[in-house]
Amino acid sequence: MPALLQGRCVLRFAPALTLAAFLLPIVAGLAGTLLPAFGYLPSIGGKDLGLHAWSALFAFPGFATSLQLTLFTGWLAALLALLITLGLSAALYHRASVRRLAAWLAPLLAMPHSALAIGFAFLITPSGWLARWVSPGLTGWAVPPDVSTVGHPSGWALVACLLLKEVPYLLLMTLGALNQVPVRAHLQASRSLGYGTVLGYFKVVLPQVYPQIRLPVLAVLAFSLSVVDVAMILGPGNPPTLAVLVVRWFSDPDVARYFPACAAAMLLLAVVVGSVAAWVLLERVVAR
Amino acid sequence: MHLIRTLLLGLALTFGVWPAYSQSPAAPAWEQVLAKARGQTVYFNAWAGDEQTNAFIAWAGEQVKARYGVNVVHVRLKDTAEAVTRVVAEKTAGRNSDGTVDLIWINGPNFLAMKQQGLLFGPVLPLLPNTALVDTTTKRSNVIDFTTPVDGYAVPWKLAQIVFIYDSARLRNAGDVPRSAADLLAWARKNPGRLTHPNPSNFLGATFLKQALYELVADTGALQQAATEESFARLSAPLWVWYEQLRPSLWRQGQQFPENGSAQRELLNDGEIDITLSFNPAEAAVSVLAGKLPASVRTFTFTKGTIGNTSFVAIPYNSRAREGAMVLANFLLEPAAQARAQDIKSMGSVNVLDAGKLSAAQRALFDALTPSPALPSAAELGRPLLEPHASWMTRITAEWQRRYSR
Repeated sequence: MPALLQGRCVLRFAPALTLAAFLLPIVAGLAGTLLPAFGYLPSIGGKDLGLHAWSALFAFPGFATSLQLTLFTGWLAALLALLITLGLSAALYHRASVRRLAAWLAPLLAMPHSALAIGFAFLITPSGWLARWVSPGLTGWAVPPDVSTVGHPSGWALVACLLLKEVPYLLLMTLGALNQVPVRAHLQASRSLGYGTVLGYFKVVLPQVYPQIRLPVLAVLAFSLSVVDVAMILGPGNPPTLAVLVVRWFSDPDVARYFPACAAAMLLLAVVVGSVAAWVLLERVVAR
Repeated sequence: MHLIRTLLLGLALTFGVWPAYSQSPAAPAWEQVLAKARGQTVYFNAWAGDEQTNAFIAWAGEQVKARYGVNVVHVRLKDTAEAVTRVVAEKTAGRNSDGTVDLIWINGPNFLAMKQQGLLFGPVLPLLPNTALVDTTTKRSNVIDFTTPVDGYAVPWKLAQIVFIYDSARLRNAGDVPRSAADLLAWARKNPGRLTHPNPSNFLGATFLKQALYELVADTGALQQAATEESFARLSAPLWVWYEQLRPSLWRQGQQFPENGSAQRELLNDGEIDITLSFNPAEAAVSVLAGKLPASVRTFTFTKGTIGNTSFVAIPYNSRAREGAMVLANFLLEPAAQARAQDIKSMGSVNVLDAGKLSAAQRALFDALTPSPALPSAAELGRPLLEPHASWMTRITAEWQRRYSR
């Protein structure tokens, strides 16, 4: 009996222990980034707390563009991914083939982001597979056209590749969530009130589905804002997105770059937290 | 008498001639080095980012083991600064002998830092028999490394020099290839979108601008001094005028740049551009053999010469296997080793030796190297220009970012 009681005691603390095991390293890492962001890292000569890391970050040529680019690509990818997913699910939910589709989506999710990004780059560069397939026969191009695709300053190639990954993910989540909702019954009811299928779907079914896919959607937003590998391969380079800038600075041979790197990392964290908060606000506005 | 000798010595040093190797090296001393080296293990700290180079180091290790009984361990570095940091840490910890780094592949800021802080054993050059074969007159970077006098503290082992590469299947007339900064501008205007350079935050990209600066300043001697706010503004002004005119005609209208040299080589291979550049004069030939470029690529340089520098090996002051390291450094200077390194089936690195100091048999080693139409001749390469003081590159990169990174 005492042994069992002891076991119960341990079990009571299990959730807290598990949380601690996951969170403590993150807290340590956060502290190790936060302190240098304010100038404190004695091993490389940072002994005074101050804001010089931040002024170095703000003074970096292209910083404003980099921040804009991060916000633009991150938000656009997340919004489009959600809209496309909802559109597809509205069009597909009642078809029998949807189960087969789900089976096809799963392997796509397993593909590493960087692998997909490299393949996508091979496809869309002006000297890539698509162009080679039709050139010079259809296009008359003896040399590739001087047109920017991969690395375009607007970041559209990055957004497109993120969509390739995020739409299947959200679609799979949505299809799963739809199983929890008596869709047919609700739609019949809404039809009897005079709504069409699509409108009924958005008015009646969606409000029940969205709360279930909300966390995945927020994850997609956070991921799109902070993605490194895809942005390195497909995003612009001069300047790159904030996340890529952080990685570049962390691996710079000049150790003094560590300070603005930490400041930029903290800024990126703030951007992600702020964006998630803004998204939650937006949800309320739309819900009304 | 003593005074005269000192004066002569000073004179000799000023002209970059080390007094010890005009005479034949003291044979008994070298015998002692060989005897002590036998059985030692040399930890050779060398950048390991190139498979061909790693294979060459492995081969050199096997040779030294077979001939002199010296074991060589290649400590594979991502960045030479790692080895420098380690020696610094050992010095801080008071480990003044029995150090863990025996030989470092080094040049530029890393060499400067180690030499300034007294972290190198030497002068080591006068102690090596093969030093007598080194070219100190036309290959000046063997003596002056990024404006730092080497003073015998490092042993040269291979040369790097800026070359340009084009595809002769597309640019059919070799006479049309641009051979100066001014020609490059004219060529780019005639062929918009067919020229680019690596991002100047990469050293090769910064070197492209540095090479142009060399052509555009009136007084190239000034580049051997550290750049100041004033001298940089004054001397680099023509570079930015030139670049303003060039940029709209670059690939992607100068809005996008390849990240590094190999990315730009791929652009050439994909037909997106017509010209790329490299720090290895044999890059085109080596790439053809490796299937990374078409067989029709050729190499060219600027008429007034291009920037070159030397890769050295140096022995830290606290090395545990000093004699073994000297034996390896001396072996790297052997004509046979230099010839192998220069072969395009190996690294394709240009040798540091003076052909005039070699015997007929030794010269024959170089004549027997794998030929390639993609290799530049010695005459085409010309005399390499000395690297400007390191501060110029830092400032060029910063100024370019200030102007064009938005």
